[in-house]
Amino acid sequence: MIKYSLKRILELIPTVFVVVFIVFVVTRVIPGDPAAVMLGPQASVEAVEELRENLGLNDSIAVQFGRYLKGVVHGDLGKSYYYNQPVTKLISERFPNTLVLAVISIIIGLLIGIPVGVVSATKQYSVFDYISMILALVGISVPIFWLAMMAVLLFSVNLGWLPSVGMGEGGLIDIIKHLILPSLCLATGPTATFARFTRSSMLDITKQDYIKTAHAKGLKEKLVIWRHAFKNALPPIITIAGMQFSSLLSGAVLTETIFSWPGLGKLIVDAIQNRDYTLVQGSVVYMAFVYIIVNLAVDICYAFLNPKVKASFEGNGGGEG
Amino acid sequence: MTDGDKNRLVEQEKKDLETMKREQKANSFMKKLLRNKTAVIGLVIIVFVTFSAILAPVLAPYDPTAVNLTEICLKPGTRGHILGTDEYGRDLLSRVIYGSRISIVVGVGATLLGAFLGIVLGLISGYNGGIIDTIIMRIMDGMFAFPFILLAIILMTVLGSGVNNVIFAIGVANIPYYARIVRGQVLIVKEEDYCQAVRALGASNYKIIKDHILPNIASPIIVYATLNIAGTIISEAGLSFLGLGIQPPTASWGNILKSGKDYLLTSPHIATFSGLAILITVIGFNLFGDGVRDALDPKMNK
Amino acid sequence: MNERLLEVNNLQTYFYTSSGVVKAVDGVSFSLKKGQTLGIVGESGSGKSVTASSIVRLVPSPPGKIAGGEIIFDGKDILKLSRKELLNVRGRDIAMIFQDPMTALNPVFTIGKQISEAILVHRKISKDDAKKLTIQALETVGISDAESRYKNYPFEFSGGMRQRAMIAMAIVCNPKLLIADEPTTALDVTIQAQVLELMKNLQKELNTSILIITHDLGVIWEMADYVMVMYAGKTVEYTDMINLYKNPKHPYTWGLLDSIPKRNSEKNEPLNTIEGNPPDLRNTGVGCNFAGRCPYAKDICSKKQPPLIELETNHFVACHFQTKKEALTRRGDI
Repeated sequence: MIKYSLKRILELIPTVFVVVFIVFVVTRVIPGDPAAVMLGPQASVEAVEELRENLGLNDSIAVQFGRYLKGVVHGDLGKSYYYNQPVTKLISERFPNTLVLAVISIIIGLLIGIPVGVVSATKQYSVFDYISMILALVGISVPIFWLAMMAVLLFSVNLGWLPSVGMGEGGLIDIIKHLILPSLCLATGPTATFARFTRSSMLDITKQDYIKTAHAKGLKEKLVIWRHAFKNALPPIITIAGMQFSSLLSGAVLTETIFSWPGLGKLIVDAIQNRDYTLVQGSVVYMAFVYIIVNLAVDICYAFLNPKVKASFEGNGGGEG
Repeated sequence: MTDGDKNRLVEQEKKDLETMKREQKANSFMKKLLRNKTAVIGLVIIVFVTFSAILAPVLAPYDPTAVNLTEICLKPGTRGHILGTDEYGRDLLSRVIYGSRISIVVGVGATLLGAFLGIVLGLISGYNGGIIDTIIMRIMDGMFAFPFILLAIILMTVLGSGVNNVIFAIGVANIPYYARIVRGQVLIVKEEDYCQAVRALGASNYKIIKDHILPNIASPIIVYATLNIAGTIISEAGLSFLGLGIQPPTASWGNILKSGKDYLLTSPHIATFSGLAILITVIGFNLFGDGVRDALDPKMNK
Repeated sequence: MNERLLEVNNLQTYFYTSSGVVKAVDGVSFSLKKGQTLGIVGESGSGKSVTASSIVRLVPSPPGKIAGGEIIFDGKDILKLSRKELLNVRGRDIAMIFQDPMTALNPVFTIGKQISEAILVHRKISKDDAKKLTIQALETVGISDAESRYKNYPFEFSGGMRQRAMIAMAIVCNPKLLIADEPTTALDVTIQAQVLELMKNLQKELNTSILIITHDLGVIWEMADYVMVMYAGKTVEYTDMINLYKNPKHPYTWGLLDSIPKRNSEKNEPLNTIEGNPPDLRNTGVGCNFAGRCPYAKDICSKKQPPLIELETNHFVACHFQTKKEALTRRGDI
């Protein structure tokens, strides 16, 4: 198991490299001069030029890249042009907010989506099945930014129940109040996806012979479904959960914009507008890194749940993941 | 008859049989698909939206870009504007109708672009294996690690706005998904006995790809592409919403939503109807895509 | 009456699909005594597996449904049992084993756990005791090193071992009836013999009745005391095994027996087959289902269904021309 994890981590390094490279190249190609943006339209040409020198923007791309890479390896993602603070500091302030949103949304998705999917599959063609699948269809089709707006319109404006902007000043209760709308909106996609996927997975599984065997042994229906069928549905669900998490990180960009939630997504969007290279790079690299870690965790979980993989590691150690 | 003639006859018979089989398969696919009521609903929606895209000039009651500062933010139903007007007095219904053009063009265009490049890369990667495969796959992994929207945002910021750029940005961001599907299928088919047998008989690579690999990847690709169009439409709307995609005065459901956001409290109809347009269209593609998937699924027998 | 462990009368199991009602089992009758083995033989699609599933009400429903008939097991009417009573019968009084042990065992649980579960469902004992009984059962079916095998997953067993494990799981509660649905079809020939041998020994030891479903006449020869021949959802012939080979009466049975390749046949002699294809089970019920392929068929055959009659003691046939008054001459008979 450890060997497997190490192997996977090693494989990740070139991936991270590619991500850093892509971001670097692409941001360099963005038109606009960060130094000019920083100093504002009134700055003189010499001042801009001097700043460019100081920031090392006049060195060749290769040199800049090398410098940056060196920094990344040491955990230094540079300094934001716009905020004039270390990128890592800005990220560490904002990222937890995004993470909270994403984690809560995934949890809601799992807690609601999976049982709905299982029940829909076992009661196929029932009213519950039809309604839940229609809702799930809407859930995957709705543009999240529109849903967010409609939610704000309904709950904040018309009903006045919930706040719609920011993260709240006060203690935990206030933060929770501010969390409700954005996380519920963000959770729609995952919930719907989990429901649909679990349903189709369970439908396939319940047709298998081993389910017939379980019935033939005289097991109660609930046991057959949750112990025998569901355990087989779990591995692919976990894989999907990993993918959903990445989706959530993207989705956060739009949701955070609407709710003015101070997270990483909003930080990145603003940074792009401000031509804040280092911030864009650093944040994207960071997000990609998080995604890779999540994927790794998912893979390891998957290997753990899959008896074939588990046994082959306990036996021989090593094998393609 | 010479041996050569005999061989050719046999070849011809085989080809005829295969064509017949393919036609039969296509027929039963169509039958299965059309039997599925929800898929038909999806298809109807798609046709409806496509028609409104094509016939926009005929269907739209007003010029979608015609600014009229005396009629800004009218509620739906006032003064001959069925859906009301936006913050520049432009008729909302007309803009929504024209917006379907963008959505269909970008939706289909970006999907086709991503699919084409993705398939090519997947074929090269899977078929050749070795170093080429590793390099291509690492690049794909890198692209996967990018949150989709971010990749599109960054590309758009570089390229600037406009329909072609949007198609390019979203299309490129889609490539890894197709490449992965295709590569996976290629790897499976490559190892199958009949493929090795055909190779042993000396068939050229091109022939193998054409006759054996492509038919096998067709199903998953078609299913994914149909559902992908739905996602692409949302992505374009999202980009326009962020101000990066299609700029006004060109009407895109996304940029209508953008102004809708600014006027959410006073003129909610702007956001509501543009969002509904997106929702219904995407539902249509998803329904149809689900139907296609079920119809192509060999496990669903009658 | 007490002698008869299982009695099935005119069982009808239908599947209601959008393209019609599939009459998978359409009038099947047989009985089974304690300690005996009944073989149900027929080709694919004859309804034999559905018959077996119907006995414990394991027919997937929807779209399937037991539409008529009677199933009396050990004096109890299976079709009238409550869900709770049915769950007690399943696994404890009637156990089933299936054709493909690879797919019939849950891939994510160990063999030991699956077998222990079969015990724990019906007996209130500790997990440790269940484990001990499981290991015993594994040893009984001839799996060596049972204690460490307990922790193995199905994919770590060979095909023959998996089937043995399934048998262990079935007998672990000492069932009165063991239903084996094509137990050897998925196995190598040499393993087949071993598994059948195992089943026979267990039967002697535990005095279990066996209902064995197969399309393989060789298996019937090995195992069965009585045989029921099924075709297109109906019983066409039912008698004891020796009688079936010596004195078969139904043309379909003749066709089956004739199609066994003989050791002393000529080199280039073509194999005997039964011409034609089985009927579409959505359109059956008018006339004899075998009429389309029967070389002896006459007009009445496609118009009227032949009733299942007791031609001789304990020998039932369903054919218009095999009655107490008429008899068919089997072609090839001198």
